[in-house]
Amino acid sequence: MLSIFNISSTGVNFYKNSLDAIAHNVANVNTVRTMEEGAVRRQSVVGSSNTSPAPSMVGTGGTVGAGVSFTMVQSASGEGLVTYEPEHVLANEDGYVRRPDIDLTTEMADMIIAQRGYQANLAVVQRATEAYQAALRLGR
Amino acid sequence: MDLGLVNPAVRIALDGLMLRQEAIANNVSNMSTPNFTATNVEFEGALNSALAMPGIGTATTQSFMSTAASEAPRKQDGNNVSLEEQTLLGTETNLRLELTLRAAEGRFNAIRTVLGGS
Repeated sequence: MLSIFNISSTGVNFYKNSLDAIAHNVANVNTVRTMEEGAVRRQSVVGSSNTSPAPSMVGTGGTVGAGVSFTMVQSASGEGLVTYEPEHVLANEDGYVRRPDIDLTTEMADMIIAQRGYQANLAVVQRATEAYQAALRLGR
Repeated sequence: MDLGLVNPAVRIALDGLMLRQEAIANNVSNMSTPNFTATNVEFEGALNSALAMPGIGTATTQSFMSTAASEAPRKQDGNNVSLEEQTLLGTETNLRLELTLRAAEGRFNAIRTVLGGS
């Protein structure tokens, strides 16, 4: 009972964390670092489905799953984009700095996906609320 | 003691529709999960054939429900949740729920009339 709210909240949480990761990437799109320090790493959130059955499915022989869990991943290398900017204060003796390998277009597309995903999960909550309310009116 | 206030078919349909809503919630929350396969809940077929036979009143709800993996085409990341399909299905399921609840309510109202209540 009421497990739809639990399931959908995992979805909302997933997309909220996706948005956090995107915010981090966009905020650092122009962050310049020294060659030794390594570039800012791009963050992203990868989901995996929860396989444990929802409470109301126990004993039914089937599973509908229990939402999504996620892990925050960072791009493995701090290599970034090595650019030649000899006038930059962080440039090494050869004149190179590291800029992050973050593509603003990709981030914007991901942001729209995350936003729509967030809304879609909330729409499910809304629908479940309507269903539960209809059930509560029963017998009045 | 079962007074038979709720028609067994209504009870099973309510449970099945609620479970379908759960499956939809799970599918939507896994919309971006790589290699995720959407789940569908089936119970109408089993319920329909059981209605033709006696003894449905004692049957457990669970025996009517089954889940099946969706065979929708997969996207590039191996995920096959279609948001539009899930939304449509969710809206339809809600309407069916309301209809089923109304069927249960009709029974209640009839009993209330018999009891002389308002």
